[in-house]
Order: sequence, then structure tokens, then C-alpha cells
Amino acid sequence: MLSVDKKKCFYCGTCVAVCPQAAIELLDTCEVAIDEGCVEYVCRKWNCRLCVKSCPVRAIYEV
Amino acid sequence: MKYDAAVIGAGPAGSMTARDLARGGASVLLVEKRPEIGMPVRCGEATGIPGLALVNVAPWKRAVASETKGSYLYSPDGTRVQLLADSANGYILERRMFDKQLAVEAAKAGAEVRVRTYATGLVKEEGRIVGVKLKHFNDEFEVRCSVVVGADGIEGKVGRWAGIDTRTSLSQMASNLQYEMAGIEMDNPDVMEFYFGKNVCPGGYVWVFPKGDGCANVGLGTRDRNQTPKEYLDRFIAEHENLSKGSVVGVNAGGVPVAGPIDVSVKDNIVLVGDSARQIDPLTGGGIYNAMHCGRLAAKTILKCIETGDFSAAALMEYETRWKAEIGQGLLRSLRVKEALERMTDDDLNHVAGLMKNMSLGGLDVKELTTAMLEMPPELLEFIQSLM
Repeated sequence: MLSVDKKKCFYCGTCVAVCPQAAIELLDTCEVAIDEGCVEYVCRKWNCRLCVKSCPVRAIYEV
Repeated sequence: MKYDAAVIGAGPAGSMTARDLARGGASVLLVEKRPEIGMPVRCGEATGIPGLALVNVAPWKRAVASETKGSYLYSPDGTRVQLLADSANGYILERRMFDKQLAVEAAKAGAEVRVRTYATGLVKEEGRIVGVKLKHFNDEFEVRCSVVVGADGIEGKVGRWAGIDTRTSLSQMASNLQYEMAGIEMDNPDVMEFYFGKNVCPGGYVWVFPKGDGCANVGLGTRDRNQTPKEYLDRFIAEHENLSKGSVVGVNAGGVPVAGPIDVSVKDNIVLVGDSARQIDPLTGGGIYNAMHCGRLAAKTILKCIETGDFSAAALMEYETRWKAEIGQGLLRSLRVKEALERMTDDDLNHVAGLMKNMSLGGLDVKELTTAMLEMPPELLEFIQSLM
């Protein structure tokens, strides 16, 4: 499962733009949310991680 | 309340669309999810002076940090190509003020502007889009409108909700980090600097944009995933004493889609403008002017639709046809040049820079330079063509 490090995140939306599942959203609370649409929830073997790779500050990590 | 148009996102694209719609007599709601328009900044803040005149915007004094009159392009071995104009032809903006100004212009024209208002979905009736769902603090409500304008940036959802594929592949997403620095020195504080090279910034470039008073935006965009933009940027600054002696007084991050224009930017009752339609230049990463210009084109078409009452994709297609003719061709050319640049080794870059360093290139911007390459000496042209 992937999570967003709020202390690192700039709320820039790069991860949202590359997510193939449209599973990431910039919330109105200036936070980033990854929902159940993320393939990491569906099947770990998929190993998508495009958001992890795209993040300018590596704020997305595996928990 | 029913509006002619609901514009989602108060960046340059959204505010210009809203301003021109309101000036044309339309009823417009312009919403911004952030509490403060223009914040946080995620932009190098450089734009051309002629472009702003073209879109009929005279920037507030406090929206301009400095004026520039050209660029220095540095090849990997430090060879400098100079693109210098006789007088100022560029601004480094204060986007927090500039974006605010554009929203103010929209408001003054009669648009209703609301901040901290978040779009959560589209309202559909019998398959037709008839409005947008909004959230303000803990209030959730629906707003009716004839057309929803998605000016909601790279993270935009309006397009996706309407069934437009707005995703950008990882290979075409540049990840950017920028420091606003103070107490630095530049060779010429009126000139923007660009640094290229596989070690400096693979698949991108470093920029140093002077903001006056010993301050500058120092940033980079890269598609290399081996190191983070931060690692590249910190190393670049450490290697440049004129920068490393300064302090970082601000930091921002962002993504620049370098894929070229989106395939479809209109649907029934839906229009996309700005970054959500990927109107940003894939070579330079510049998008302010394009977004503003396309916002105005969108407003023009929507005003016509208000007259006829027809907001179908076919009617809105006039906007798409126009922006693709006026901006899209340039974006595709930039895409080809970008791909050619990517194939160049550091030696190639040094060679080209060596041939160009004594040329008088005037005040061309980076994009005009690539166009001008077509009129260059045969030896250089042949070499560049061999790379394309």
C-alpha cells in the first residue's frame, strides 16, 4: 500500500497526472489521497508505482 | 442559481476564460480550490512581454519581479550561447500576485469568484452534463451551468469525469523542483540562464531566472528517475559558488507534461483549457501565455454557443480547431525539437554551442532559436539535421 508523507508533499499534482487508475486526488484540505482504485490495493504484483517515480520530492512511499 | 459557465481553477487559463466570458456578458462562476489564488506557486515565472500585450494584460507593478532581456544557454562544457535583445522582452513574474490580478480582472468584469471551493464531480441528467458539484468548507452544493470549463491543471479531474483521457505517461512527465534564492550573484542580472547536460540535468535543464535584488528562481525539470530533482538541484547549486553562497527563501515543486497537446479538449458541455489540455510547451515548459491565449479562445467560442444555445462538442469544436491551429502546431514542433535534443550527447551539445557562441542571435527566446536553426549556416544545419 502506498502513502503520502505530508511533511514532504508539495501538493503539486504530478502524481495525479500520471496515475493510470485516476486513484489519486488533491483534496480540499491541501492533502493528497490515494484511494482503493490504486492497483497496489488490487494486486501487489502489478508494481505500478508511477506516482512514486514521478514525485519531485519522493513524498510517496510504501507502508 | 444557473450560470452560463462554471470555470474550475483560477490560474491564468481559468481566469482569462472567466474574464472574457464576463466581459462578453455571460454569467460566470470561477472557483479555486486553494484558499489563496496563486499560492502555492509552481512555476519558473518567466513569460514574454509581447505575449502579455497580445492577450491584453498589463501586469500590476507588484506582479512583476524583474524584466529580462535575453538568455544565456550553457552547454555541458560551459560554452555560452547568448540570446540578447536590445531592450527588455521578458518578465519574471510574481505568480502569487499575477494570478491574483487575473482573478481580480475576472471579478471586475462581473464573474463571481469563489476561493477554497472544491469541485467534487459533475452533475448529469439523462447522460447530459448540466452542472458541477462543489464543496466550500463543509457545505456541499450543486451549481447549474451550460458549460463546465476545466482549467484545473495537471491534476485536473473535470476532463476525466467527462470521459476525456487526460493522463500523462511517466516518460512524458518532467518532475520539477525550484528554489527561490536570495543573496546570490549572476553574471548579468537582466539575463535568464539555462544549463544543459547529462550530468547537470538529464532529459531537461536547469534554469536561473533573476528576480532582482540578488534573488532568483533556481530550478530544474527532469525525467530521469535515478535521482530526484532535489538531488540534481542541490548538486548544481553546490557546484556554483555564486549560488551556493545564497540562501533558499522558498521552495516549490511541480510536474510539467511534455507530451504535446491533448487529443480532445472538448465534449458536450465541457471545455478544457491550460495545463489540463496540455497547452504547455513541451520544449521550454512555458505555459503562461498559451494558457491565457487559449482561455480567451475558449471564451470566444463559448460566447457564440450562448447565442445559439448549442453547447455540443460539435459547436465547441471551433475552440479546439482554433487553438490547435494557433498554438498546437508550435507545440508539435517543440515536441520534435525536444526529441532531437534528447538524442544529442554532451559532445553534440558542446559542438553546437561552439558553433553558435559567436553568432549574433539577437533577442530570440529558446523557442524562436530552434526555429531560427532552420536558417543557420550549412555546416551547423547539417549537423543538427543529422540528429533529427
